[in-house]
Amino acid sequence: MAFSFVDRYTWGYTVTQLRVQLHDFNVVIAPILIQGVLLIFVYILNPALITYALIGALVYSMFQMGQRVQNEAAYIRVDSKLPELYLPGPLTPEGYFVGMSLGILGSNVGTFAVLAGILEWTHPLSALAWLVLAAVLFAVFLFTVSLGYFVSTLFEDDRAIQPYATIITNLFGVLPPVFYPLSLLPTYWGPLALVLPTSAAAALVEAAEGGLVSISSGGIALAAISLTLEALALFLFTLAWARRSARER
Amino acid sequence: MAEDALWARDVQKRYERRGTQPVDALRGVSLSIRPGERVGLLGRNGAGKTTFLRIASTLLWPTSGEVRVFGHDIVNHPEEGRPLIAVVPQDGKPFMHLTPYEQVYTYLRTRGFDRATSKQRTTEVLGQMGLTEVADRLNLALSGGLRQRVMVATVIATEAPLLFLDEPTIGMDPFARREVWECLRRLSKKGSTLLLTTHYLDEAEQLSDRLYIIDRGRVLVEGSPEGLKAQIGGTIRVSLKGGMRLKETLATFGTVATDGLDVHVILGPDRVEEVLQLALREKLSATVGPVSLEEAFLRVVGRSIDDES
Amino acid sequence: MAMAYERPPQVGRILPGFAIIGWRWISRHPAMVIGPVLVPFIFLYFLRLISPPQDFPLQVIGAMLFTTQNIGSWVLGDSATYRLEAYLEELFIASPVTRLQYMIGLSLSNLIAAVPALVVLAIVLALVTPVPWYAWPVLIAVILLLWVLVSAIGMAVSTRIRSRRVVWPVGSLVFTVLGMLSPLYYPLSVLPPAWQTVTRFFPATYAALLVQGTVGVPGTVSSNLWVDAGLLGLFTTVGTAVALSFYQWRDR
Repeated sequence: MAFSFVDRYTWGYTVTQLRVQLHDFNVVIAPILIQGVLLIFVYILNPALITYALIGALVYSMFQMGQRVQNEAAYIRVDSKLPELYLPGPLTPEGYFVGMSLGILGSNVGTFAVLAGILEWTHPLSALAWLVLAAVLFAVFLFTVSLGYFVSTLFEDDRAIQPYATIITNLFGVLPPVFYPLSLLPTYWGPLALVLPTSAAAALVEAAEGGLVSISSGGIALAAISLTLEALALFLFTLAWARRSARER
Repeated sequence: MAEDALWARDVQKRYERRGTQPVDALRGVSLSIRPGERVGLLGRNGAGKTTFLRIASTLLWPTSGEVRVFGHDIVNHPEEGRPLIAVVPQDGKPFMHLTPYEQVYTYLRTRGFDRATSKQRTTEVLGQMGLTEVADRLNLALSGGLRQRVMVATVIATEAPLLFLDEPTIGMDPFARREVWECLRRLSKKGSTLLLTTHYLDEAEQLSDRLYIIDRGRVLVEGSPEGLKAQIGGTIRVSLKGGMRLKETLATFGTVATDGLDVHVILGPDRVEEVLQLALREKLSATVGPVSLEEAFLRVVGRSIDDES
Repeated sequence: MAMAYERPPQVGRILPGFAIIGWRWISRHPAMVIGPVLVPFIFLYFLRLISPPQDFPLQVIGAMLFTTQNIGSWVLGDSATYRLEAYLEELFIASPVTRLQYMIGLSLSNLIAAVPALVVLAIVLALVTPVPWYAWPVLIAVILLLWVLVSAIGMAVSTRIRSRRVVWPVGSLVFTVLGMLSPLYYPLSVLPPAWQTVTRFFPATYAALLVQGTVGVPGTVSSNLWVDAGLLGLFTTVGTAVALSFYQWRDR
């Protein structure tokens, strides 16, 4: 077996992480409030964009899970040396990475529920759009937690990670059309936006919800294939990386 | 008459956290340290050593009690005492993005030392602490023991009149520990007063003129290392391998402690020969050595545990 | 009273030490400079796409003030790390350094990281709109006042944090609310009247109005700049005093 990342030890570690994250109410409530503030901000600047912004907020919130994994993984490795406690045991390095990611996702379910509720209230989506939304969020989750975990292993000073996290968040979450429709972007940037996982995810949901954005079938295929490949490739790479980096060289 | 470097009376500290039982970390600690003295604070984990040290170094508010640093009331006016103190915190880490040289130098600058003095002291203390070779490496790249040495060097360089050291040599190898001891002795000769907590009893014995043993937030006993050792009924320990069956006979020579089937007798020098002859007659192997501070510590704290229970 | 010790000489200045700490941080972590320079431009690009083009000069000013506000978030992060993880704060508490000096020191070390971004944005501002000469000192003064205030807020919030884990969510929340809900990136006039009243409780509102009015960018609400300046000063003084009283220098 190449990888063993979903066994009972992984679930055990998922529950551990969930408890750790939920230990502080701020960790649960702050992301919801931050998304609320960002939505108000977009609404002030351009009320017509609120539906796009809500879909974008869901994608952006999912992308933030990777940043949370990055911070958590670096913090408990550098400061608490916890991998040294868990990894010389039955929990596999892949299970450690996956368990941490699932635990952090679990602690943020509230954010997704609130945003999805507001979206359904302001602009009810079709069943197809909800299905696509769920699928792309899963793909973004795989991509972002993999990126976050990988980046976390590159640093020995967890304080030094934050500036990189800010750049990554802005490059993937603010610059491409996540909070705004693809149509506002100059045409020549369109293909690039469809290749970036976050904007591809938003575009796919908007395309599934007919009328929100007009993308050619080639564009849809490009977005779907890119997102799937990037998510899977990075996830598989990070599973291997988790094993490789578990023992220092 | 000169003021005590540190004087504390009836210091109490109760930690109250919502949803948990209050914890009485200090239950009336009183002590005094004369200028230039080196004093060790010993106790089990959770005995209250760090709590007391943090209160005395103005890091933590006491619940009640008085603490004076060179006569200044640092409970109500900490700013008066702070220029006179420096602290090596427990588990402290240096700035990871600085080198040991920059760490010590910038700390001295932030304490108000001028550039020339800061440079001179930094070079001097890094040399004394065996850090010259790594002076230009990032703290991030140093081992845990070296980082701890950097922390101690940072504080020693201040030459503050009163230094608090919370487990200063934790994680250091025996050579490094000796270098730190030497630096602290040198500083003490220059006039600085030291209060340290440690779990290394050899360190406490080497460095301290006087010791306070505290347990469950109270001072159990105070005295010099020799004085404390004398309190347990003798200065020599004879250990008899497999001497359990002679326990009652051995108890007539001195204080007896057991360790599995082995028996240790603490006694005066005048009765050592008798015990050794007994061991010879019974064909038991025996070793003779001086009583250690650890034995004194275990006896004092053990007695306290027995009394409480 | 007889003293049996020699008081250590304190003749040097305290801030150079912190300046070195700040300088070394950015010189050894270039992302610490690249991030603050890059992020406002990413955000400005986003704003240019979703909002009226005539607001762009106003948004450049907003980016400068928002970058300054971010210093508060960095101070919060540093302060929490030094207190909870490295225990370095204890070195400074048990020393002649006062909490005000420590706060200024930490904020200075973080201001150094923001300066390149502020300079680049100032150049952009000069390129996109004519800036009268007297607006520059006003802009600098406003940035300094805001820097003091947000640093104090960052320090105060950091002392209430008990785990490194919550530094990022809490810091993001505090400074996102302060930045996004103040009219830094949009004219105050686009807000409904009731909301305009609410923004009057955010200090960055006065910073934005004062700079926007002095530079004379399109979309500026006509207001009394002296009143804005006075209120910004008042907010900074009172806010800093409140934040410092909230800031726990000695543990309880």
